[in-house]
Amino acid sequence: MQQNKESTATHSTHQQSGPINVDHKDESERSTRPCYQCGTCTGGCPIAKRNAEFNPRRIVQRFLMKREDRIPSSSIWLCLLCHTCIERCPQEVKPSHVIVALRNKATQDGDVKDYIREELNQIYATGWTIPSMPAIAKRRETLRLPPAPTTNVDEVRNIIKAMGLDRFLGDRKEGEAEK
Amino acid sequence: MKEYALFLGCMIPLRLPNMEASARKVLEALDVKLLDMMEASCCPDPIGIQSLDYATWLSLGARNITIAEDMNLDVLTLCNGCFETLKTVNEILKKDGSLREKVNTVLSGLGRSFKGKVEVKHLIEVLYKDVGVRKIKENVVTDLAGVNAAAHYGCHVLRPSSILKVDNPNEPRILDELVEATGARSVPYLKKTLCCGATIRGTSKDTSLDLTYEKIKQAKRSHADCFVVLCPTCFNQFDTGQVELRSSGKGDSSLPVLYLPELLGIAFGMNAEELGLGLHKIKTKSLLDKVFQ
Repeated sequence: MQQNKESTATHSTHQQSGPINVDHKDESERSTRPCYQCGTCTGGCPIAKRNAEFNPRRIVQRFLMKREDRIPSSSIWLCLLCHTCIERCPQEVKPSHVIVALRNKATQDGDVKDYIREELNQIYATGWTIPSMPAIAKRRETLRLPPAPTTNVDEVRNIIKAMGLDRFLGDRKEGEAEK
Repeated sequence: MKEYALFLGCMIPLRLPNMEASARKVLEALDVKLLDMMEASCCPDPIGIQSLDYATWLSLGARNITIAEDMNLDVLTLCNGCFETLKTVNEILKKDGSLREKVNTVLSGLGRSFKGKVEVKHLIEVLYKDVGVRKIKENVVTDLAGVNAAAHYGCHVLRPSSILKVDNPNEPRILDELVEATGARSVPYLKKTLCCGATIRGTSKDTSLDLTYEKIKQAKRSHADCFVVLCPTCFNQFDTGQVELRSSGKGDSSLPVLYLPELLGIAFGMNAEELGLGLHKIKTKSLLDKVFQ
């Protein structure tokens, strides 16, 4: 039971502007509290091995010390979310889930990566992350597959709007002047 | 006969229909009945959308699960990303009543409600646990003896294992056993559970391909003739990734990449054309020549 609780708990460090407030800040701190800074997460991390800027042990430390301001914003986007750190941690801390929470916070503060903005736009437009292409439709026919699935895009848009994410739609980044 | 609600996701139907064709054909041959989930959307992506907003990720995922609940069937996913999202959302919302209530408030605007009455399964669980190695062996008509395969599970079918519960995350075996059911050999290789690198393509392409290169190097060192994968994102990373590595002068490999149902399809006597093997960027001819020599 403890694990299940933690899996939901580590995700959000902030107040949501949408209707679902998953502000589990206290619980997420509890879930990192057992961290004794052994560095197993960093030792097993395929990115830390290649890029000294990325250090999950230090990210967990600063999160735990409430010094998120000292986590370089670029570092949290280096994570693969491969969750190797979660498997290796002897204390059942979930460093990659802490990173998801930090990414959510960065987004709330207006730092949305271009590829994620594009993905959201595409989901809003069609319900899928990938646009349909006539060439693929033809390949499907050749393979005797049914036409590609369609979704109820209005329902998808309703959820995106209800969650307040429609503010990220469109090309322009927040704060950019209109031309 | 087992019946499942089929969740196709984005990449498989809209970019890699060869994966869909092989999965449908192999499952049909194994008497697994699939009913398509009408009006399902993107799972949504456990990397981009979960990083953007956890609550939206939960809500869009929950909406998809309600479609299977209406069909009264467990969900079958063909992709690790879809599996991680839908399984995690399903497990979290089944257990966390207050979060479920909040998500249902959002879904109620669509006339939907998450009830928590179905399970989410990855293709490999259905093949290994429902169908079983014995039945797969019975369907083999072309023995793939002589083929050395590097089994690549991919991150999001294994980790976090406390939620996904598919196999031992450090020493997984079930894909190896399914590969060997065809007569092929699943070769041991270093970095077997290393990520393919795809999830950071959007932010650090060089590091992303560096991981891909590492995987290929290790597979070749173990004399693999191909990769066998479980996920369209891993498939694309190895297939397109090798083309990218070649054009950037960082590698010269052309190791074919097979989706597990493609390997099974070949062993079941299906031909390259009906499996869509011609759609791979890295040609599979060297492998097929080895099988049919």
